[in-house]
Amino acid sequence: MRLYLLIVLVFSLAACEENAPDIPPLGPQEVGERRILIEEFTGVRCPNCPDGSAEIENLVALYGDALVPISIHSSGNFAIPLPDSKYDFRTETGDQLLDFLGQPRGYPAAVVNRTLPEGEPSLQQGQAAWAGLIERAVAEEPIVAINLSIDFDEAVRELSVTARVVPSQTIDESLRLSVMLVEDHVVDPQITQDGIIDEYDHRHVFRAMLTNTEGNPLGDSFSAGKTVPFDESFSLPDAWVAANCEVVAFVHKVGENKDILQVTTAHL
Amino acid sequence: MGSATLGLAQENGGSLSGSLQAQAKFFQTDTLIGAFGTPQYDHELYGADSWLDLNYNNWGFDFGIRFDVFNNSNLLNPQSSYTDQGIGRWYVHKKVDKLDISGGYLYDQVGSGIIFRAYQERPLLIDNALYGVRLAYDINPDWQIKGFTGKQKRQFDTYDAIIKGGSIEGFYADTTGRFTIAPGFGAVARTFDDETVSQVVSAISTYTPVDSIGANYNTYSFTLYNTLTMGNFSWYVEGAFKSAETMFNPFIEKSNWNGTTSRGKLINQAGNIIYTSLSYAGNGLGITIEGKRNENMGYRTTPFATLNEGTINFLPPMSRINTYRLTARYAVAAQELGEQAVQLDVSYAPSRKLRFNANLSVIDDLDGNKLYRELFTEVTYKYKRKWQLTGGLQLQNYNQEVYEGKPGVPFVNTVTPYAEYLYKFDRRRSLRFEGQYMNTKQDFGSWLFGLAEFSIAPTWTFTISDMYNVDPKKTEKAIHYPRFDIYYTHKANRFSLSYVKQVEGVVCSGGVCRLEPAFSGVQFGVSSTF
Repeated sequence: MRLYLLIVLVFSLAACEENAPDIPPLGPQEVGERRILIEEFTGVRCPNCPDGSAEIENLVALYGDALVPISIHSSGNFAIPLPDSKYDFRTETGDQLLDFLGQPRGYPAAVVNRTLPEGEPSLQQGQAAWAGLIERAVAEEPIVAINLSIDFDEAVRELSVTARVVPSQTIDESLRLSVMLVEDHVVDPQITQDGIIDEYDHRHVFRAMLTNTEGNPLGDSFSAGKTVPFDESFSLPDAWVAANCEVVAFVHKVGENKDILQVTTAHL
Repeated sequence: MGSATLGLAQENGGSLSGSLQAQAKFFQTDTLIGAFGTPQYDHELYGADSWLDLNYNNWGFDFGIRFDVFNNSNLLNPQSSYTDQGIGRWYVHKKVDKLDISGGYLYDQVGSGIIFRAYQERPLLIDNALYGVRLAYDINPDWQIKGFTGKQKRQFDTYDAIIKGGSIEGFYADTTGRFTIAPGFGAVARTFDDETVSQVVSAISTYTPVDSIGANYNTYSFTLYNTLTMGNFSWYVEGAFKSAETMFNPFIEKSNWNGTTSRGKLINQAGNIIYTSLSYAGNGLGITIEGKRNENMGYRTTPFATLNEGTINFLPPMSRINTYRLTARYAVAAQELGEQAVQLDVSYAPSRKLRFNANLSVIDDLDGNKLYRELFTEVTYKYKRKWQLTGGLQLQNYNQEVYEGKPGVPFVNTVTPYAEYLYKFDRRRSLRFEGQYMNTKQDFGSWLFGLAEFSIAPTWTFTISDMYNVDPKKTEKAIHYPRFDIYYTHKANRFSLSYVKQVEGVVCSGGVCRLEPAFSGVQFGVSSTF
């Protein structure tokens, strides 16, 4: 009797061979219309973060321009400059973004397209989840387009940004536009798992927002094809290398659902 | 935390009982000790956690419900703020003849918990209750079989994975009375939901061919265990196996599409664990020797869960659970990806007045790299009922790089002598002193800790303590971390009021640990049973 029960117990759990999921290899992707934003939260004292950054570069190699990375140096004590740091990458806006998007439980951490993964309580996700979230988001059709143009006057370092948001269908909910400025390839020390690297290549460093932290309101309802304008100017600090700067603009929802609908970029 | 008891009358044969546990924290920024930068310090200034349990028994049924409140709480994520409230638990239980039926949010385990443990650790806000149904049947007075199925609780929601399993446990006493055995066998299966598998597939499909792996919906685990008791000896042994599971290994190298490598990728591997404990107790002598080896024994509801989230099983810690402030400063959690460990504990009491205790822990990773060493000694001398003196020495080698995820930091080597003196003025009033000195050249450097506690039993306790960084390695100035506590107990109500400056450190509860940031502020606690 006992043996019989034991056998029933074991076989009820393990008798059936499952059909394992098929995993097709992907390889580098063609750039589609939909572009995805990944906001990485990092810090120069965060030893695990460079592995997260390397994973993001790997995903950029895979998705090309469809993936738009931003590294926001806001991670509490991890973001405090090192003794030999030339720069302080921290910004008040970056800290506000961390509050707005939520604190991660650990680092590396990033928010993919500000979409709450199904069943998850937080936008902030660990490194293991990023690829899957990007792969699924990039397959969606965009419902807005952003025509972004910039004009940079090198003499006075004045940047003018013009964005035209064009919905491709009727949208009956509030949308916002966020415009960020990032600087790529900033060389400065970083703690890694292998110690301090003095000439670490910091990629896609978040520098400033040209809109409110939570985005500028675009309206509450939109007709297909009706353009919503945005114009702003910004004085680029002398310390930033203009040739490495990029403007990132994205349209997103507001409130509990913060989904980003489309992203676009323009180099200075 | 504090406590109060009020026995409610039984009416119509039923009884209502319950408990309240609540704490409020008032946060005061202290940049000197690193207590800043979270929403609580920045603008919330206040946080609270509360659990109100009610249990009712009648008509052969047991009913229970628990109301949980978290307001700007830092328990879930010490770096963040968590606010929510609602029914944290409910359950119904009924025994029908030999059949035991439970439904709702259930706490249970199989064997020692190494393949399944649904439990709660409030200080770390771990609540892994199984939201489902459990049936147990008494085959005879000595043998029981049980089965369960459900989902794991996640705050006020559940994870989507299905967990099901069962066990058969028994007891046999030799007719001559020479030995008894308590054998058991358990099996647990976890099935990922479609959404999780879809995410896993999407993630793996982005890997380069060299890193590409398969994935499974189902992971099965089996455990076999037994306790043999013979005379003064008791021997527990448990061995478990887990089939291939998709999990994230943050330490393993991954090849990238741009030709670089980084650390961290999903793996799909089987796991195993063997744990044994042999004890002797008699003639004032107690000896326990434990051994454990585990490999890939993380078992989670989703491979994307991090830290203490979504753990289905529990791996027993293989080090002494220390209680003094400095001897407990460097505590270790079991490494689910792999570790091998032995622990020896010897206690000897030649008389009622005198007791000796020594404990040795040796923990390595599976490649033989040192993770932790601890030698702990203690001598206690009691003089009648008047006073008691306890003293000893602790030596530690602590792999801070692994246990706290701080790459590149050196091993922390500590030497910590300590002493405690308890003097009883009379039956009610007593005075207790603690003194500890931790000598270390690593991490924060050396520490001195002193505590004085005056008690008027059973009502009042006043405690004052200070932890002083005598040889600071991380700050320019030596910093004091004072603490003042007042505890008031009246019947079954216990109140506490504390002013706390607490250094960053690892906090462990029930063998589960996490790194906690520094704390500065005031805490108020209430606990009550009724």
